[in-house]
Amino acid sequence: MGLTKGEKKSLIFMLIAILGFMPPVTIWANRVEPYVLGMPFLLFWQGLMIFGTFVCMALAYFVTEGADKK
Amino acid sequence: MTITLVIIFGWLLATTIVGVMAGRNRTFSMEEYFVADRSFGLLLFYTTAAAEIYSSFAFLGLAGWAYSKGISITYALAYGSISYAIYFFIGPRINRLGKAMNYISQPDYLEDRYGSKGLGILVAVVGVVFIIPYLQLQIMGSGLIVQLASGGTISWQTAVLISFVAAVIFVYVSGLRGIGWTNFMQAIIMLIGMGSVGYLVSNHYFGGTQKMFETLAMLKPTHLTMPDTSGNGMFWYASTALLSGLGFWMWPHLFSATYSAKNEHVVRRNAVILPLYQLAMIPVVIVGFAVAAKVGLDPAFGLKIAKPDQAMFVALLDSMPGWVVGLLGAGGLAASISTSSGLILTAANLTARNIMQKGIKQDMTDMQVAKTGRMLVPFFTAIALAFAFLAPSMLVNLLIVGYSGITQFFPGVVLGIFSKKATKVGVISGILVGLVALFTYQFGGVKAPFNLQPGFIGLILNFITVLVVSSFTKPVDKERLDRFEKILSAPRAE
Repeated sequence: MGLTKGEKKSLIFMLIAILGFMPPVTIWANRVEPYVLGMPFLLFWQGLMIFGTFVCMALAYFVTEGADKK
Repeated sequence: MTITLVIIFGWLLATTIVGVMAGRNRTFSMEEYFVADRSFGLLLFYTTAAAEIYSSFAFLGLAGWAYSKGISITYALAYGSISYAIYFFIGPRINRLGKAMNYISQPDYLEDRYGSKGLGILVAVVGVVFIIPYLQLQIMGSGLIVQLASGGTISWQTAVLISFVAAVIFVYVSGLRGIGWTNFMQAIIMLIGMGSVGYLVSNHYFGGTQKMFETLAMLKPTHLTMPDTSGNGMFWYASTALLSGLGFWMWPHLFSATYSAKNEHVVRRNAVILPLYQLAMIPVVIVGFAVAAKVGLDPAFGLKIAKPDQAMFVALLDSMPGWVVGLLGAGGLAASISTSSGLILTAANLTARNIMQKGIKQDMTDMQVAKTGRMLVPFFTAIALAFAFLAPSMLVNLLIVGYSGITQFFPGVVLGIFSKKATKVGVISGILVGLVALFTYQFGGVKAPFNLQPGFIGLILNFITVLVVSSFTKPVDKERLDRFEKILSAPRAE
């Protein structure tokens, strides 16, 4: 039971993904301007963080695979 | 029949045929029927999960919320992503345990882990109680989509009957494998629909997305930052997103879908790529904002929208050719039916397997469970249809607390994977305390401290109860713990 060595190293990526959607980050992002890709900033930030979650979990995947396969 | 309806019903017919074909040449058994013999690979598991997750809310609700309330709808973007980040760690373990111990439902795991038939039955009953109103909501959503897309020429009741006869046919015949293959098709049409809609509508009315948002920022400035027009602020957003993110995989149909993946690698890789599906929600949110801006300029347009959920289709009918409305109607119907079919099968599964075989009728064989489950498919569909037609608002309270209620399984599920301390009495007390707290704060007229979500308070009290009660009640027997330890700590099979 408990997390594997690789998963423990990967917890940081889960935290980054979650914290990106949470205050205080979203308090900072809570604004209309600048517009990016036609979207007000807060909506753009949420979209960026969705992509960011994908990137974080991909990193978590490679770190976990690397550490646990040995 | 208009081009719109030809597309929608043509699509429905195509998915039904695919769903029925999927079950051909398969030997009927309990594991085949409920978890497709644990055979789904990366792509099929991805589309199965995505289509079950994204329901008619992803079409009607998202746009309606953005239209009427504003940017607090982005909690839905946040919680999905949060839940996938958590799934990376718990999903593969659930899949592994399911494979090793032949689980086919969520209570199968909890019952076995804590050695308590009572816990299994409790979780199954609570699961069914919250599934029925959710299913009813999907049924009404699918009816509304077809009624709106047809411009009112088809009543929602007729639409619902046609759609759910189709769904019952392929679920009855093919079980989860039928759902898997139809979901593959549903996920594709949903992506096309969701992905295209935002830009089409904004371009039509405003000549571009940014121009639309600039108009909206001028007319309804509270729509674009929190607290938004509904008054939902950052605290509401964060607590709702976290609560829903934790509860997400506790939904019985999503939990048992994890068993259908071929192995834990498929699950782990899916935790990486599932967030990308979330991107399709953004254009739907944008449509909601576009309608809000349009109504800001032209208040008469707002009169056409009786309820916020209609916003998107009213705008589509006004601005798009029939075939585009048809594609989006098919996408919305797909979203609704793919979620419903999973809910129907899961309600049948929980009842036949956990309430009957492991509860009141313990002499049932696995084959009898499969056959009884199959008989329950039309039965549960009929119950939900009856509520939708005869008493549409009767279960609305259950629906409000559905998500928070399901979340009360979280401590038992997660502690069961990562810790040996929780006991059966502890977990049962935790779920009961969590549910009582939830109902008290939601409906009992008691004001929640710090304006927290009632489900959030329930979850905190639930966790405390599990830890406290577990400290002085009989621990789970060592043999059982060793068995779980052995499976969970084993190196991964390659």
